[in-house]
Parts: sequence; structure tokens; C-alpha cells
Amino acid sequence: MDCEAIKINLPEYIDRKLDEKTREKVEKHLKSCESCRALHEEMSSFLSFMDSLPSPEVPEGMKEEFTERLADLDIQEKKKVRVIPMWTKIAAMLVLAFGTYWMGYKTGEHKSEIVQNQLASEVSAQKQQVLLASLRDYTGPQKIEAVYNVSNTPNVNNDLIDALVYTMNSDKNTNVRLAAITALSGMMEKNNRIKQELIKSLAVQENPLLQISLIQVLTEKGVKEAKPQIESITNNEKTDESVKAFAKDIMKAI
Amino acid sequence: MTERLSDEQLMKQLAEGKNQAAAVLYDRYHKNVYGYFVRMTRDGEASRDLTQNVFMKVIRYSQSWKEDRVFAHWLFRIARNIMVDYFRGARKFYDLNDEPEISVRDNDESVRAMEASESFDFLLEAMSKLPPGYRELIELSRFQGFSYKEIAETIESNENAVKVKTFRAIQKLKEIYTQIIME
Repeated sequence: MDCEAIKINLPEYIDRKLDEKTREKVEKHLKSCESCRALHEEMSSFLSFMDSLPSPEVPEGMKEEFTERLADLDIQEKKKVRVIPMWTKIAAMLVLAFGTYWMGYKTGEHKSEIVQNQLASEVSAQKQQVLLASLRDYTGPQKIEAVYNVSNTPNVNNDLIDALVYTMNSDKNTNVRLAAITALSGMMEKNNRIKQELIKSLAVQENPLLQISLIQVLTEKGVKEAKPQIESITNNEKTDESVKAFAKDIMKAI
Repeated sequence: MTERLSDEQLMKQLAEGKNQAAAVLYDRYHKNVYGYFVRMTRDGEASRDLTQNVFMKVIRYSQSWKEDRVFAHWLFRIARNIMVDYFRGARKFYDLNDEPEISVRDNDESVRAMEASESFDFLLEAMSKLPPGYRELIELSRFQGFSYKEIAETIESNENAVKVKTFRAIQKLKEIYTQIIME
């Protein structure tokens, strides 16, 4: 290798990213070439100076601004989903009914699968304990991540629901609350209690965004028991106009 | 500790419509992306908007996400396109004599008095005087830790050309920096 070829390899040599063969060649050359050695020293100290440049501070409120935009996006998307023609609902019901029949037929046939499922749920219960602990101990975005992970665990038990309900009703951060509502609504079919907790939460939430999300979730899932609670919000003077309009609109659509 | 989903797993979920996955990705990467824009544009206010745009595009483009990609590289391709658009809009991408204003660091005298901080100011000043192509190579190789191969894929070039140009970029930066501190 001549001096030019050695020089262009110097940054990687300094960062120890060269393959062994090339590294040996550079090393050998540096021992015998004074000018390349001088360049190596100079570049090495300049690169370590560059690497010590601190990262700029992120401006205040930037993260919050993004999470708000994200929440707006969720609402817009949900509004789009709302207009579903009746025939698709009927088709979906038929598919569901057939699916349930087929699942029952299958599980009867393979009993060993049930044992496997039990084992899997024991493992997932342990994982869940770790996830629940993180819901209590962390703040803001970490909590959103925790809620998000919790919502993906297959084992829906009372501890998990308690933690999510507590987060939905009491967390200081609106976005964390919203994440908890989304997580709980995704699990509604797995445990009957969730439905009741979501209905109760309608009376607790004061933020219009969270009220709209709850109304949306409950009506989408066809929870008839939620109707009186939604009506009481609609008739409440203190309720935000956008929530009232949304509730009326969606009740009509149903 | 929570079970940590990989960036790519989160992208898959985002593509399936779970928008909250974007909040997790934002949390992991917004500082890097913001730092990238600040060092490239030297405009803190614009960098804030550009960073938010990158992540909104991540959501928008998530439908076309392919699982064999590395998220961090894909993210920087988006960031890079947004930055090129920004410079085109500002007509400054190829005009070296008309650099964006410096609005990143505090100009308070007591801060400037600190020697270390001052040398970093000089380094940022030198960065801003580099041709944008060189500045980008420094950014990706030093501050974002990309390999030459990864840079080549990001800027659609070949590995050897990236290697040669990165060496020249470092040399040029060192030269400009030395000039500034000698003045």
C-alpha cells in the first residue's frame, strides 16, 4: 500500500474498524513512514476532539408536541373508520361465527394443545409481572412503552386490568391515559370486567380527547350498557361541545 | 425493566395501524435526528420542525415498510430527504457563501468564556463552512456512527467513494478549524 491508500484507511484504523489484514498493513507502514505517522497522530487527536462534541439540547415541549400530533392522528383515523356499511358488518359476523365453530372443532380434536397453552400462559404471567412493575415505576414515554407492551401479552388477569385501569383513570399524562384506553379496549373480549371499567371511566375523564376515545371505543364494540353514560355526558352542561357533537353523531350512526 | 421490542418490530406494529408504536420510536431517536439537523443546518428552530416532520413521515410511510430493513438507516434516509428539501427551499444547499444563521448555541459572554465550549463553537463554525456533502459524511460517520457501507446505502453511493470522501471531509474540517482558531 502506498501513502495515499494508507491515509484513507486512517479514520477506520483509529476507530478499530479495519479488517485484520488491512490493519496489519497500516500498522507496518506507520512504523516505517514518518509523514503518515504524524498524520495519524494529528487525525487521532482531532477525531477524539470531534467525538467529544456534546449533543445539542432538545427544545422543551418538543416531545409533548409530537405526542399531541399522534393523538390527533388517532382521532382522525378513528373518524375515518366510523362509516362502515352494514353489509360488511354482517359479513364480519358470519366470518366470526364460522371461526368460533371451527376453533371449537379443532380444540376438541387436539387436547395436547390445551396443555401447551397452559404452559405458555404460565410463562407469560411471569413476563407480565415485570411489565406491571414498569407501569408503576416509570414516567411519560417509558410508561407508554410499558402500556404498549402490556397490551401485547396474551394472559389477561385481574392484576393486569387493575394496573391499566389505574393508569387510565389516574395518570397525570394524557397520552399515557390514552395508551391505557387503547390497550384495554383491545382486550375487551378477553375479560368481561374491562367493559364495565371503560364505562365507569366515562364518568371520570374530563379531557375531551379521552372522552371521545372512550365513546368511540365503546360504541365501536357495540357495548349497549354504555348508552346511558354516553347520554349523561352529552346532556352535561360542562361537557366540551366537540365531545357532545361527536357523541350525538356516533349514536345516530349506530 | 420492560421487554424491549426492537425498532423493526415496532415498525411492523406501526404498519398494522398501532400508532402508539411511533411514540416509542420517537423516544428512542428524536434526539439523534434533532442533533443531525442542528449540526447540518445550525438552525435550532428549523431543526425542531424538521425533526417532527421526519417522525410524521415515518408514520405515513410505515405502510411501505419492508421487514428486512434496518430502521435507523431508513429513518436517516427520510431525514436526509427532508433536509435536502429544506435546503432547496432555502436555496442554500449548494451555496457555500450564504450559510444559515447560527442560532444553536447561547451567545452569553460567560458561556463563551469557557474554553471547552468555545472550541466546540469553533468546531461547529468549521462544520458550517464545510461543503454540505462533506458535512453530511462527517455527520453520518462520526455523530451517527454509520459504517461506510451504511453511508453508501443511505446516500446512494459506493463504499470506496464514501471512504475517500470521508477522509477528505475530515482533512478539510481540520483545516478550516485550524484557520478559525488561528484568526
